[in-house]
Amino acid sequence: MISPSVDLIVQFGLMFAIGAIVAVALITIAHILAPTSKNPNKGLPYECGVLPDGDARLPYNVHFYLVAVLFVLFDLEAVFMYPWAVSLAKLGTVGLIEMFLFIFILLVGYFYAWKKGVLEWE
Amino acid sequence: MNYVLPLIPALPLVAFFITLFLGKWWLKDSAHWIPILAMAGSFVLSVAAFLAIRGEEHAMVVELWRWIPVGDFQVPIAFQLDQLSSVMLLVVTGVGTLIFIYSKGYMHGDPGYYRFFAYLSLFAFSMLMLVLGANYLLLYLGWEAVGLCSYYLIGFYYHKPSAASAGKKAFLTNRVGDFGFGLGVMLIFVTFGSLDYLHVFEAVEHGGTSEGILLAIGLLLFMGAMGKSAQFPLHVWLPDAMEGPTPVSALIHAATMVTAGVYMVARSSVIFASAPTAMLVVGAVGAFTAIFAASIGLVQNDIKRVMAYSTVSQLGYMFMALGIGAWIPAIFHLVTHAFFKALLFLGSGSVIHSLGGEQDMRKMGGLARKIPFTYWTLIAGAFALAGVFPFAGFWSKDEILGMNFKGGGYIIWAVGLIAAFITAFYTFRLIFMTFWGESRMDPEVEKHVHESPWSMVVPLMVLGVLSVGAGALLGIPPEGGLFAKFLEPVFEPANQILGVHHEAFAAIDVILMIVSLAVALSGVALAYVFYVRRPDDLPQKAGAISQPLYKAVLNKWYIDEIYDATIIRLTIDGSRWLWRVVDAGVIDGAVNGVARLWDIAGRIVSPFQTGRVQNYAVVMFVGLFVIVTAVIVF
Amino acid sequence: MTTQDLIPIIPELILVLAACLVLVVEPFLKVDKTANVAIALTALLASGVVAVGLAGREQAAFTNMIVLNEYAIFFKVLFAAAGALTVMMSPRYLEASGRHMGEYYALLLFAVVGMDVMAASRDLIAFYVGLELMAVSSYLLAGFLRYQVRSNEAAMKYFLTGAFASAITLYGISLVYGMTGATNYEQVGASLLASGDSLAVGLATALVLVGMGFKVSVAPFHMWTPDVYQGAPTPVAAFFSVGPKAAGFSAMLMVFLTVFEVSSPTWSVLFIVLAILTMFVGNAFALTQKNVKRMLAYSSIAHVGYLLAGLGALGRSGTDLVAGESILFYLAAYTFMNLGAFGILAYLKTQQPATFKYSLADFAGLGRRSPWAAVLMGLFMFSLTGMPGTAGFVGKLYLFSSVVKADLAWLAVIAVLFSAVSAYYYLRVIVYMFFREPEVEYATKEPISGPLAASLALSAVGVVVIGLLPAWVLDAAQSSFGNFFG
Repeated sequence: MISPSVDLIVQFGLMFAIGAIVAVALITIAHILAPTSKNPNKGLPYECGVLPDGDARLPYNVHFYLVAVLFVLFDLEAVFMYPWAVSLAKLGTVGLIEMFLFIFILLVGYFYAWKKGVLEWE
Repeated sequence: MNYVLPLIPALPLVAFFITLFLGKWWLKDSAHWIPILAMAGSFVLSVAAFLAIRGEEHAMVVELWRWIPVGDFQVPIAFQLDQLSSVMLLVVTGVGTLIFIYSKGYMHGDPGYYRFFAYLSLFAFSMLMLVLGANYLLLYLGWEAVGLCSYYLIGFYYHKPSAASAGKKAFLTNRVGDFGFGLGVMLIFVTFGSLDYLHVFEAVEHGGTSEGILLAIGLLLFMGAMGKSAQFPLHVWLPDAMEGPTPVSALIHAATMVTAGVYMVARSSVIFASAPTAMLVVGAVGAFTAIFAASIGLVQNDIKRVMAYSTVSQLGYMFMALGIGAWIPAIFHLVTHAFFKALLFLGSGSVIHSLGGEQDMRKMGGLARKIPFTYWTLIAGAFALAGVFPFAGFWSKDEILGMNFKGGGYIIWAVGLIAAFITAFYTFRLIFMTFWGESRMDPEVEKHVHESPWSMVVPLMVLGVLSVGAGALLGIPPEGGLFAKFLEPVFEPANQILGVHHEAFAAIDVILMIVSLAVALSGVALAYVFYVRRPDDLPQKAGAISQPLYKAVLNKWYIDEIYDATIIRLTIDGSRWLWRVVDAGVIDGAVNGVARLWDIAGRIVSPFQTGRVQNYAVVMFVGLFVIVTAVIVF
Repeated sequence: MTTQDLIPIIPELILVLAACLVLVVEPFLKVDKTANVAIALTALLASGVVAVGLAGREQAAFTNMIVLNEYAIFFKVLFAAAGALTVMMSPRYLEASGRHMGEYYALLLFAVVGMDVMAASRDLIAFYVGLELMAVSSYLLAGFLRYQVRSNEAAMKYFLTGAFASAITLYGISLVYGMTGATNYEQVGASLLASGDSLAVGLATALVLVGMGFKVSVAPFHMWTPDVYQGAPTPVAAFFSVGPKAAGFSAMLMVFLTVFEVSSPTWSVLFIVLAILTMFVGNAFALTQKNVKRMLAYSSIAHVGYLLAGLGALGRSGTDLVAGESILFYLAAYTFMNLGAFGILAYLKTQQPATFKYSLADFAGLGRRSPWAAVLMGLFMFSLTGMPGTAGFVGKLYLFSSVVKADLAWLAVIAVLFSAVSAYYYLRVIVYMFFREPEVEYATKEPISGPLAASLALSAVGVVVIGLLPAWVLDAAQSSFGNFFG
């Protein structure tokens, strides 16, 4: 237990101040240093040449994200299971039941995602 | 009893909601069933309550829940059942049921049929709350609620300007009384720290309260009673209230609501008994009102207005009784009056109904054979009102007069006797002008005269029987009958304070009875001479002889005009001044100033609300920064 | 964990199971989502009933992280009621918006679980988990109308600023943990009390206060509120305006009274200052609004200001807990009246033509077009103003009198003045509904749907019953706050 001391306040204040200063400073410096031009053409993507046809940002199929999120979920489930497996002997039957409950809840989620058609690729 | 008692007011309340919400679309012309059944149910329960309280020494209090606890100010919603509230319950629900049934016929075909029954049910609920409440706050709430219903019902034909303004007049006049009543209730709370009847009365009986305070409480409470029970000088609203439909006049402005003042004073009998001066005021105002209103009743030509002044006068009798501590005769008269006055109103309503809305007695006459049921029941009511042996009114009125005489109040006794004579006269003037002699009806009206439907006649007959027999049944022997025995426990404490002893029936009572009977009969006889034997010249002659007096009475002693010239004028002028100077200048100025300030404030803060989330975050950060800095610095 | 540990969280277990059930059932439902509505409603009712049934039990579970006491039960019932009323007002609105999906109910149930945990937790970690569960569900609910720009904007703003606030709260919690090495309320509180008030404690107090203040929209951390309420689906806005607020106050009461007992002088001053600021900002903005939905958002900020005054009084009054009781009572009263007012908006949105944008002008002549809605709206406006006979009056009466009892009469005067100002914008709605003629005549579309009508009726009954018979709720508030430390 750390006793509350002036040190802590100083540390806290420093962190607070540095955070603020850095954030404010970066924006301000960029604002001051950056060359500015009032010419409206400055706002265009290209000052000369052919105007672009279509959007530069091509959207990924949203399914990629869904699958990725699902992957993260079940990946983390597996991560949880390692420490559990190591100490299963200590946790006993209750631990076993608890983990099955945990898996069951995730299974409900999996079932939901499946039925919603997340896994189907058109 | 714990479950029965709350149900008594609850039934009409439920009926009110059902009728109000479903009346317009579903119930329509059958809107009367639910209220009538609810009222009959309440009556049955009231009988049960009566049987339960009979012979009990102590009141039963049923506490439903605590209502608004604010520190010491604890007001439970609690009902108190004792002999007094039991009597009131029976009157309200019994007469109420009959009048509900009567309304079915009377209001038939009215566009506001369901609305009428909804208001009536609401009124019944409020009135039952008033008589059942176990503390002054509930009494006050019921009091205000019945006033509100009365206002709605007087102005029931709201498209008629006279009805609307009569409603307003009733409301405003009652405000004056209620103002006093409200102050009285507050004073009670300040003095005793409680509003519960039992608690307050115990404290008063215990003594130690200064008489000045008790006098103030008594007078303030009586001020409320004067408003609600239409005692001089706050009586002006009641005759105008006759603009309402006749069942309303019968139920609210004769049998129940207007007796709330009497109930309240009787309920507070302990307080009044401890403040003799207050009692003196009550008695004096009552006696004066009795003769004053009776005199106006002499010359009215509108059948309902005669009844209205008669009601004011009879209420005066009740206060006269309360003023000398004759609590039981007062309540007895309240009960018999409820019977015969409801009967007379309903009977007049029946007459009006059969004449298609005609209320002027000068355009009636000779109706006895055309509408016999109405006629015979009205005769019973008239005898009861006139106080002729052995009809109901005789017994109660005689008790009041007798107790005054024996208590040494000879002046009041004499006043009461004269008023009784006038009462007998105008009552039979009404009967003779309406039913006897030649027909003075418009030929067109005469063709359509018909007896009223059964739903109207049956309540008349029931009330007729009660007007004939109830007095003798409950009141023999005087001051010792069933009624007096039943009510005794309630008024025991007040009588102890006053030191009243019960005296046995004696020769003096018989003599007094004979005197009042003689007075009543001579009134009837004089009316007979005036309006049957020589209707063409005698009334005019009498009027001509006493020209100034006659005119004053005809104009109701100019009370309305006096009010117009003084209070109302003053109020209007004063309000106008307030409006011009205070309202337009000070208040509007302040309001506009404040509004401008807020406008400026809004303009100062609104730039911050840009809708850009970055700015929100910046403001949050600045706020955090300021708070943290403040914590560090201070 | 033992089986005994599960008893205090039975209401939450019901809700979680129901939420899972909703998600399992949802893929099988085509158009008619009645089954999911029924599941959610049943679960919320069951949770409330079970919570009431558990009343009288005192139990700590999960190594003292979660407790069961009257305080927790009071809030569990309140949240279940708020949730149920929201569920009832949702189906028709979502159908009209073309997004009637079961996920909505699942999210709502999860949010209620989070709120329950906040009220019942006795541990900073458990509290934070509850807070996040509620918050994440809220973000999703705010953006539930995915194809509407406003709704997306609401979700985005709510999420960004909310994440900011969560981080600040967490920072405060971490400071506390650093100082005491514990997260349990009582242990932390005792430990801080032993070491005495210090700057560090003050800092932690301020940080937690700011983070929590964001959740209940204390000025100047309120700026998300109007945008989110306006953009979110109206029933969700209704829920936001009562549920998370009440949950926030339930946690604040606990955290500040137990954990930060030592720094009560600091936080009571902060609360008083923020109360004045919040009342000012809420009322000033509400006055200038022409849009009723935004006006209600600002008015809810103003109400938070009144509640903060109560919190300030609580910090001042020490052992006298009457201010806490009146805060609980006010929250209950506020729940019904505000849910009702938003419910009317939801109803009007489904019933009026597409041009209906909640602006005051749209309310003109409502008294004639849909008298029932107008009358109920009038009732809720009266209650929000604090007219006698309504829940709002009794709530303000108790709240302000408790402020006076804490020797802060001047603060009570300010609060009363502000609520007098509030009468202007509340009554303006009534004026428009009943005394203004509409510029364009609308034809009303469809009659009110059953559940929505029931929800409005229940809210109205709640407002009137609490207004006329406050003793019932007050007893509950008293006994729950009386057992607060017991």
